[in-house]
Amino acid sequence: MGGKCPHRKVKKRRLSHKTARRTKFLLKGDDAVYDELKKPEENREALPVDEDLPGMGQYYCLHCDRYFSNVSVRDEHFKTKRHKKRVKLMMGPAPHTQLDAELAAGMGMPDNGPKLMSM
Amino acid sequence: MGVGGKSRDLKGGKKKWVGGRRKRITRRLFFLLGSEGVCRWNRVAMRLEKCWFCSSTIYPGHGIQFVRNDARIFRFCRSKCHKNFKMKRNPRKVKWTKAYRRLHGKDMTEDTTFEFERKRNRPERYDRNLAESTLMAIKKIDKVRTTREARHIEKRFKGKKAKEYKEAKKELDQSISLIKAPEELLINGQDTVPIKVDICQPQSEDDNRLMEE
Repeated sequence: MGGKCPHRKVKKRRLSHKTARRTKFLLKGDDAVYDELKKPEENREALPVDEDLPGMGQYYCLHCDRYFSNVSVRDEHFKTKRHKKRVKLMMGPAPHTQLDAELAAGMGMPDNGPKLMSM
Repeated sequence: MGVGGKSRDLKGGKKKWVGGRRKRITRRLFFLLGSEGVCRWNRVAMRLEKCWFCSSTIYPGHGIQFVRNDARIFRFCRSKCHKNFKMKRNPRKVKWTKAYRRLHGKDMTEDTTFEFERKRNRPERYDRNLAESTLMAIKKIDKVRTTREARHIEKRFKGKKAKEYKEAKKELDQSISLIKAPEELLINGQDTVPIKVDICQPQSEDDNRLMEE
């Protein structure tokens, strides 16, 4: 994945892995993506136009949290193994959360007490 | 954060900014969960939190917590759990976590003792009698739970023993012919009965030598 560094002379260290790492940190967490996918289709906001993003931020893959430059590239992405794996993951059970961790530790459901405001 | 000597307990804290595209800047803020730090800000009793990864209890002054830029908090009991989180491992697939053990029937899943410990998100007025009786109850409940857990584990092992016996018997039935010829078994009027096999012992070798001489 590493990109090319033009100024490096030593053959071994010509590739930089910084860019690859950066995208890793920018990606949304699994649970955030899962929540986004759970929302009904109508509630999703239209993609805002953003000149900093590839393709003005109009070609987006929800599952992988990635932007593409045009439709054909995005459709090509939908065919990839990585995307399909991701879709499969998101179709499965909900990702691990803090609540799951607490239940596994032998705690009960959180107790918020009686509701103060009558609806 | 660090002013004067008070910053001592927060010396491990560091701010980490990961820049990138302006709108999607991911701000990650790691800091040590210091006991004094919590007290100073909130003036409430401390909570014993559970680790996000392995579900163990995190005591004040231990572990690290990560606040994602959507304000979700991930707490970790030790660097092992933190590292595993950073590697994006799924706790349900890592064998040593509680989540895995629960999911695969290794630990007790349903029990009445699990109903006592909960996150109570409401203020409780201090009552001396209540506090005293609670402290008494905690010990008792803990004892009940440990005995039940021990029983559960015993039950699990029991199943395994029977299974192993069954498998061994099947293997014996199927491959007895490797040791003894089928005709011999029929002569004896036995189909599949365990046979005592003589193992060559050093003594017999000595006997052979004597015979040769």
